Amino acid sequence: MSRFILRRFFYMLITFWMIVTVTFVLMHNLPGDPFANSEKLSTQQRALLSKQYGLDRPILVQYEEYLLHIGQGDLGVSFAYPTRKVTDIIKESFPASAELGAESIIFSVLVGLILGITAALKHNKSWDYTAMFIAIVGVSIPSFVLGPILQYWVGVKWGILPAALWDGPANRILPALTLSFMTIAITARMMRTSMLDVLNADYIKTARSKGLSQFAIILRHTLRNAILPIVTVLGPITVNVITGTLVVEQIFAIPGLGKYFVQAVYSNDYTLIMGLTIFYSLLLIVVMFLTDIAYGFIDPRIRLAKGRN
Amino acid sequence: MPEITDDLFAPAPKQDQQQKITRPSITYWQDAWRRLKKNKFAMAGFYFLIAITLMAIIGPYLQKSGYELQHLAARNEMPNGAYWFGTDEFGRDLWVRLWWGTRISLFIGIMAALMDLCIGVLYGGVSAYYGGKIDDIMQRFIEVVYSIPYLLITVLLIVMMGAGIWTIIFAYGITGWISMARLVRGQVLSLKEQEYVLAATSLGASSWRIITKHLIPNALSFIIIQITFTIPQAIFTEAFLSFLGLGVKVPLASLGMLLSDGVGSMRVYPWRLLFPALVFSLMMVSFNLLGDGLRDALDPKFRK
Repeated sequence: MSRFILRRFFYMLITFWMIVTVTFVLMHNLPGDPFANSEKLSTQQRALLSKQYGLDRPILVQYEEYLLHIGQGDLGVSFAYPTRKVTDIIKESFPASAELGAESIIFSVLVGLILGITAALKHNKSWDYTAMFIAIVGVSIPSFVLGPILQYWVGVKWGILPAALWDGPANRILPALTLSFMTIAITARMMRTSMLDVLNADYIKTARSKGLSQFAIILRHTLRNAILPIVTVLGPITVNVITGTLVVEQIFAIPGLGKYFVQAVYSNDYTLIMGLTIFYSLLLIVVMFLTDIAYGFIDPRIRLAKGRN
Repeated sequence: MPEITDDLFAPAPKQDQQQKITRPSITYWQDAWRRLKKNKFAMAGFYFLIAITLMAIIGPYLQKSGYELQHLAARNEMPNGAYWFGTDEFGRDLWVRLWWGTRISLFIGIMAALMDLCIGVLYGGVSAYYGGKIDDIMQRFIEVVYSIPYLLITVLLIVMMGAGIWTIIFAYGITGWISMARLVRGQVLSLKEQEYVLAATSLGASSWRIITKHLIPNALSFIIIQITFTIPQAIFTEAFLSFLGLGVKVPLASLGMLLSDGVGSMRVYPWRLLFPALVFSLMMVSFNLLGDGLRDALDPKFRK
């Protein structure tokens, strides 16, 4: 097991290094330079600025320094807000995003599991069709359409819930709901397939033939085995929620990291974009790593298979 | 002792009639098609997709206007006889823009599917077929690329290279084909151990023949299923990028761009959101229904 973990950890480092390198290469192959937009600068001023940001040194030296800085958790200073470090921006605005993401994941995984289980138990009946229809609708409407519609009808027209901002618990409901549809869909589908697989397994037949009640079979034999593969979709779910927050925070004016990312894209704030990309990637890589390890613990077949090749 | 006569040795009457197969045998694909036809939802999705594709091809020509043409005298029109789906704030015909946008979105989806076929199938196939060291190296590479968040890299590329259809497609070419490669590898790994591949090898068939005649046809059903999920995913990504203002360049339209324009003006001009949203959602639902139906029809695991 420890060999398996070490191995995964090593891949995680390589992946992270690759992402960092890709962002570095992209940053240095920009058409023009970061100061190209300020036309009033003279050549001298430009040279001075380049020197101040260390852009006049050989590229390998810059790369080395970049790696060193990232190793120390320093992502540089934002171009658009020169007084602010990227890490400070992350520290300040990540909690709101994380909270929104966590609330959405908890809610949607629960709903998704219930939908998936219902669909599998009522396979090919109207319950199954209803649940799967909800799942398909969930992947068919983009959050940036659903969000404003919810915001307008529930928040503005009916006035039931706050339409924007991030003040109290009621403010969480609409954004979290908007963010949840995709995850509900992914979870429900995965759970349905996995339940159907397990329901056809021989040990369920055995359980039935030894006279266990339907309830006991479902609770003790089916669910426990069927829920395992859900761990594998946690990676894709996190990807979804992270990219979802980019949009949802923009719509509901939530002071989170996603909003910063979008603003950084609009204002061509390269260091902020790079820094946030690296931060998000790290987050994802760690989630992937943890799910892999978790799955290795839960299902011994995985780690044995991986250890062998 | 009975006398042995010649007529005892007359040949028995032929019993061909009993063994004759009365129905023509059907191929795997005919069988799959039959099963797919029984699935009402999947067929509905299939016909909707054909209809949407047809409209994307001929739709723009049913109106005289071009997608970028501005009728300044007819801005913000409601749907009417002259402009079937109304006009936007620049007086551009939304009917024409909608079907042009559908065309662009479908094009992005189809290019993503092609990438899946060219890079993903080839990568997965080669990795699994040759196995050993090659497979090891190729798998390590995939494991690394797999954790790279596709959308973030796409945003990064667009910020660097400028927005546009080809940037989106290029970004897909970097990381989007991974799931296809993994799927094909898994399939080929199990297929190449089959007896008929051993038989083909022992008869002296070349690698090329085995790959094209035995492995690819047998993995094809899984590839097709995967593609029906790749296309909507790529279209969805484009829509998402359009919302961030990173999609195709104006005045060109895509469904994502029309959607985000529509969201902006939905309180005053709700039809600007309604029509693109209808086409987009219908397309997504159809792809998903068809994909689910195909999986049920093609994958032996799901047979009843």
